[in-house]
Amino acid sequence: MKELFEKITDAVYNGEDAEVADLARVAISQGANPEDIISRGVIALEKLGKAFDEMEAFLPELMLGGDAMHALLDVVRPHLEKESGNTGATIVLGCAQGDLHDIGLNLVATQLSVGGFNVVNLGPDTSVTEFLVAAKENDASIIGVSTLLTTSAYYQEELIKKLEKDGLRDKYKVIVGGGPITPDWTKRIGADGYARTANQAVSVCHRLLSGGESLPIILE
Amino acid sequence: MTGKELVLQTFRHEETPRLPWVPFAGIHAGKLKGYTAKEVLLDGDKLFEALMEVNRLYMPDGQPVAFDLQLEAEILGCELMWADDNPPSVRTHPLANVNEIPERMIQADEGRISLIMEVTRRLKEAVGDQTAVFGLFCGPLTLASHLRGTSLFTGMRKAPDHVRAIINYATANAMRMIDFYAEAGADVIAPVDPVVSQISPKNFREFLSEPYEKLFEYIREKGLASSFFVCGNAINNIEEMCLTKPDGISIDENIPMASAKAITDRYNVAIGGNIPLTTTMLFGNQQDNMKFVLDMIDSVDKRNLIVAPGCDMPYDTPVENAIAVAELVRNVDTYREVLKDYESVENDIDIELPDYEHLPRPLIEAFTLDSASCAACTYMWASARDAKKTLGEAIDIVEYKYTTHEGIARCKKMGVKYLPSIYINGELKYASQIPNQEEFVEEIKKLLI
Repeated sequence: MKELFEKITDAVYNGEDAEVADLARVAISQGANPEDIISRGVIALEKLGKAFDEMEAFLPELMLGGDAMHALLDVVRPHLEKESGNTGATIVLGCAQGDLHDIGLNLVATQLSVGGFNVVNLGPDTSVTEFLVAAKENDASIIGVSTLLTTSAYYQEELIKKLEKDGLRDKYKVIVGGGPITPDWTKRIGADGYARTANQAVSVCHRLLSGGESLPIILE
Repeated sequence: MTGKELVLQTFRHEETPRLPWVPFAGIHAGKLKGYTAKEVLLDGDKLFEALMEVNRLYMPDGQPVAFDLQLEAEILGCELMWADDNPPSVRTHPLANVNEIPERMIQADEGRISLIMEVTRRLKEAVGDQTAVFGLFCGPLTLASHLRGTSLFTGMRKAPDHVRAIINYATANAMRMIDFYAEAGADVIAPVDPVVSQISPKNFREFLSEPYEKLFEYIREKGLASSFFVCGNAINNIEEMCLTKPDGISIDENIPMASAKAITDRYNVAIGGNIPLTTTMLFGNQQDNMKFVLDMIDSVDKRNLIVAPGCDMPYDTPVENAIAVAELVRNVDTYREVLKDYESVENDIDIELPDYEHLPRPLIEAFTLDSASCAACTYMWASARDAKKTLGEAIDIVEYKYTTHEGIARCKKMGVKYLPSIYINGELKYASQIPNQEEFVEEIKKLLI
């Protein structure tokens, strides 16, 4: 199984979606734990994110890796039992307008899904309006906006302003993240939560739903 | 030597007496005249009026007519989403699920092309003897991604021939834009291709080297200068960009200028840009902007260098920040000293502020960088002097220049954040924007009653 898992990691890293799906099916048929299979994909995405940071991988490689992860999740998801602590809460996630870098977003979406949330992943380049429409349609509790670009960070603030303007600020919690996003920026724009990593994002979301803490909740 | 000559000389890789300054005031131009981004991109008269204000206040050596990467995409079938304080963005990708390459090409009378070209002609006629007019168009990779959507990137591995065909189609349309701008009188023609930073050098060679060599050769044949604009951390592709033979390259804040220039210097290509748009231009103050530019120019050889923002200036960029850069490039040594003084002057000079509550007559104080050289400061101080001409002995006026120790100390004590600005009886009345003379006099008259 170890060798199979390594192949899954390599295939996700290399963006080979068809191969990933085949390997995931084999792993399932051999009785692998679905969450373990997903974790092999997560390792690949983290490795890909690091390669992107170090300019060893670029947008096409990131997107191919993202596609491969989706292929893996499509195979594994039906076999996945949500954690006993399933919140039933829905989170709408997306990259801010103008940002196509969704590798971090996909990581967060995967971890939140495993962490017991219903995740609506709007993907890259999502406008403020698209966030609001999806949040309403899916009766979301939390909206998460990721960006790797400082030029798109502006739209995180825009979303919050729009919620305030429309009288919806109390209806949704807003979490932000992404490479250039900092706790200071989070406070400055009035977001409710910030997390540096995908795992921390799960904790922030659980704590936001529990309530009772002063905002923003920041994990770095 | 005119500003235009400075720019063109830089693109010819010659030494210049000072560094040229090219503020990329696209939608921000509208802000100067109270127009939205949408208004300036859809109304030629408003765009022209706004560009003339850019020219008046920012004293550019070169300036773009528009910074709109969606113009060609809109004509070719992309739906746009418009905003008041941002350029429009592409919402739909007509070739997302289509494998045929269209035959239709953009025409001079389609979409907003005629508007932009008409304004190019007017700008050229109005300031073209002094200012280099930049014609910017959407680079082939970005246009291809507008048309195809995100699958263009995954297609680089999965369907490379198709990606190449879309990029060739975008390049053919880009050639048309070069024709239009050349005919309208642009001095510098520049493809803007932000997405270039997102692909590897290998992919650049595979998909973009040939199209870009062709584009720059075409611009050269027309006897015009060229520049290759990129955004994001494109450091790995700077060398590939140089090899396509543009006269210049423009980079954003994600690449240290010294690192990029070390590469462009090897190929004798000019380089500009780099002033951070958000942290410095939008949210910084005048000192931040001056200091960034000063540090940037001190970090590199001055030949082949253009001072410019990292990309299209944010709509709400404080006017005084661009004014500060315009002033700095003209007086680098003076402001190097001023910035040193800014850190040290506070405790040196004891400034006594007027007793604003008990003034014998209204006091108009103009805080300027230096009205002798800074255009906006000249206009601001002229407003005060005109008011004095109108109201005579009934008012007092005074100018404080930031180029003096006393001026810096007074700005600090008064808490002056914007230069130039006018205070009346100790209260800030006009920050950066030159007052309408009638309103200004009326404002003062209220205090005379």
